[in-house]
Amino acid sequence: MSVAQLNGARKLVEADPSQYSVLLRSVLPVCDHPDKELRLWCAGFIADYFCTPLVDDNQKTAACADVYPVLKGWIDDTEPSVVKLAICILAETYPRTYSLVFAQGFSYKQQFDESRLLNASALRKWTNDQELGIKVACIKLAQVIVLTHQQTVPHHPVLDNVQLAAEGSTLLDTLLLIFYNNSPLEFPVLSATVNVCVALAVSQPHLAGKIVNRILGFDLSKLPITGSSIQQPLVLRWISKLFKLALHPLAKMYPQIPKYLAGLNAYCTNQSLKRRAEFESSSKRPKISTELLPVGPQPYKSLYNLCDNMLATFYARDLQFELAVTLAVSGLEKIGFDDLNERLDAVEKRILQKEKENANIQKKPTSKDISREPEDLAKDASTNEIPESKPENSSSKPELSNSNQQPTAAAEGFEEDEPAESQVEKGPSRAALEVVVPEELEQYDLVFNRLLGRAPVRLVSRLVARGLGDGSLAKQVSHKKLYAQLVPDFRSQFDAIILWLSEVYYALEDRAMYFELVSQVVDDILPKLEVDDSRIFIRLLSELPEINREIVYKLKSICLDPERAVIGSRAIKFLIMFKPPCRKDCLDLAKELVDAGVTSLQSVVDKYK
Amino acid sequence: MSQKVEEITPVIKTYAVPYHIRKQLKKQSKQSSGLPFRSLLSQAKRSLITPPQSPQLLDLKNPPKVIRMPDENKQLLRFCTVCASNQNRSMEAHRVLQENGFQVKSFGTGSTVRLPGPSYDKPQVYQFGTPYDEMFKELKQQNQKLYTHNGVLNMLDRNRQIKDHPEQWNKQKDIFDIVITCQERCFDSVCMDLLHRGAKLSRPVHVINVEIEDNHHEAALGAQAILEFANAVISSPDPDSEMVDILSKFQKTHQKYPTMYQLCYF
Repeated sequence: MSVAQLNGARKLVEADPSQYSVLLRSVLPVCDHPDKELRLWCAGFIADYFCTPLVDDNQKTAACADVYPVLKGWIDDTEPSVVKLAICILAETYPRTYSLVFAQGFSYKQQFDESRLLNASALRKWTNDQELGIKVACIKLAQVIVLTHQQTVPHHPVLDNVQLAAEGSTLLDTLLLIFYNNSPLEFPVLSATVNVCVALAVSQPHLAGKIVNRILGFDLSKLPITGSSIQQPLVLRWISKLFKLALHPLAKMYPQIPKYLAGLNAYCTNQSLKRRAEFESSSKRPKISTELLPVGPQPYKSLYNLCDNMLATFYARDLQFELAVTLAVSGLEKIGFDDLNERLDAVEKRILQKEKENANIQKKPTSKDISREPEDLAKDASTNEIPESKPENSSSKPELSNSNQQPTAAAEGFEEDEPAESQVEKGPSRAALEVVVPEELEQYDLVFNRLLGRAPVRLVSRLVARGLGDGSLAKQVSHKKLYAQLVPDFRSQFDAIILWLSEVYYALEDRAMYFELVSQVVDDILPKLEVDDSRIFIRLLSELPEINREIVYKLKSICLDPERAVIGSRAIKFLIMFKPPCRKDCLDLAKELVDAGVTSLQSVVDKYK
Repeated sequence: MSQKVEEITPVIKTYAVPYHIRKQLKKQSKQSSGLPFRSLLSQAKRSLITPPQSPQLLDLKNPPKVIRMPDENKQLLRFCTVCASNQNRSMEAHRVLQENGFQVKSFGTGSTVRLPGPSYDKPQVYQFGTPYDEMFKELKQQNQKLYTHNGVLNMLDRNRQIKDHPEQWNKQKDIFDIVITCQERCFDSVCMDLLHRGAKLSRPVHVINVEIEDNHHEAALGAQAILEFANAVISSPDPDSEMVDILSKFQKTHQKYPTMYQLCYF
């Protein structure tokens, strides 16, 4: 009998399930065949026989007795896959044999004893065997035994209640041991254990308390996670996801679960960042001190002495704007990966520091704030304007002073260092750049791509919004690239999108480009939104600096979509209640929708009309 | 089918015939008529050589391991690809894996099959089980130019050559060894569904997510990445034990596709 013949037979029985048991009986005699391939096929077939819905349950139960002698030989097979499948079959047959003994007593005692002996030999492999597939099969067998032994009856002629309960309890403790064990973590074993334990907790509520307590006692910080620098953050991410998904069905019953999950998630994120930082700091690139900023002007010739001190004292503001741009573009094109990253990190760090300082300044209450009425403060909040906190040199920023809304704290921080003289020179220099950039668009494109891949979005969007001439070709191309980078993955890049659009809004006097970009973003995002994205979408609408009537009316389509209408109506309600500048447009739209039969907006229309 | 087994052939010199047996053999050769001493000695050597049953005998750290070949793994392991609508990403991966000889099926985790319609807010919605052929004919009749331009007709034409209709994950009762989802949401659905089924069939399954964007270009690239992953799995002598290593190597080379992994049970 060859595997090809058996495959043919299998196809026949799949077409005619009544012949499944006939094929099983024909296969059993060749199960101990020396050919490994044949044994593997037989093991796979028998395992599938007990899983297929095509065969009647009574036939499966009757076949158990015939299968045990075969399993006896397979438990110590040299081929690990055969052993794994044998344990899987055992996990399938044991509850059937148990139920037979439970119902009919002595008639099936021998079969039951045989299955218990097989269980014992299989479970010995749990700790002794190195094969992960066998361990995983043993974990499942242990769960099945625990589950089966929950069904007991006092004074049964064959089943010893005390012994079976003790066995079940011991196996459950062994399963749960992984959550207290400090040995190196094997993710597949952890995943298998969590899944079987949660299934056990859901089906047996009286065991749920014990299982959940043990799982919540799992302290990842005490466990050594082995593996490469890539594997470790990966495993941490998987663990976070595993617990999130597995504990979800129990979260309503146990209020401590959400808190535990939040803690676990925070730990996994921190560890991933820490490991990444360690990895980056351990690389052998030379460090350049970028903390010490130059105080006084330095000659241009310092550039040619690329030692640390001279580079640190170089004063870039002395360069002409066009020259600085040419140097920056050609430099960015050729700079090495590590060096570029290091410099970008330094700039990002400086921006964050500035933001922190600004935030501290803003936190201190001024006498003006104290003297203001609470109603005024509420009015400010409702109009979504940032309270005025002009920097000392705000008078030297002609392009910002015209805007009716003040830039965010982040936007402030970046400008403060620049002296008034350079700002005055900015106008003509930018015009010059408009002439230069289209000619060297290809080179610029290359540089921008490099920056986009490595620099923080905050920095790139700032450069694009303020560093390039208004309406220049380079600017349009850059915005398109940023759009393509951020919008398709809008769920994870959500903060970056807000940052980018805010930059565009605050950098330009002409808002046409801003509205065009917002319109495109909303058009692109709307069809992809699912009900779960409701919060994200509302946050996007609330954090955008300005929304016009056209954008508000884009919500109409989603409100009429029966599956996702809830997102649209929630967003409109939110805008009406918390974003007064666009309240009128939203109310108009809401009225139209109510007329069209969207009843969920009726209450908000009545209230604010 | 070819199979490689690490064979350990003991060195005969290490099992020399002891002196007292040699003496007996010499006596025997003198007494018996035909057989010379050398032939008796070689027979004795063969009878004395015991097969290496314990690893200590040959100073081996581990007993000889059976190495399985990729072709055998390809026959043994059942793959499954899953996306939201069982149209684009899962079907492209299905096609690529099938063409390379894998045992593969594909499913969708959504409640309905959604295809791009004439506008963003008017998708073409079908129930799972509607034949690809029927969808193809209907859309062709509605607006051939539009659906050819957005690639839907081309995609449906490919799909109807692979299988009859889109299938829903929640309703399927097959067993797989490796399930590859193309979106984190589908990964969550598959894992939650397996958990809700109660793991009654006791069969372990590796559920892996490879995040692929839902467009034709990315689906084609993603399918090639999935094929690479599947090849790495079948090339492994023990895919169960090496799954984490395989995935971390995959992640290193395909940073564009963030992965997720769980070991669940059917």
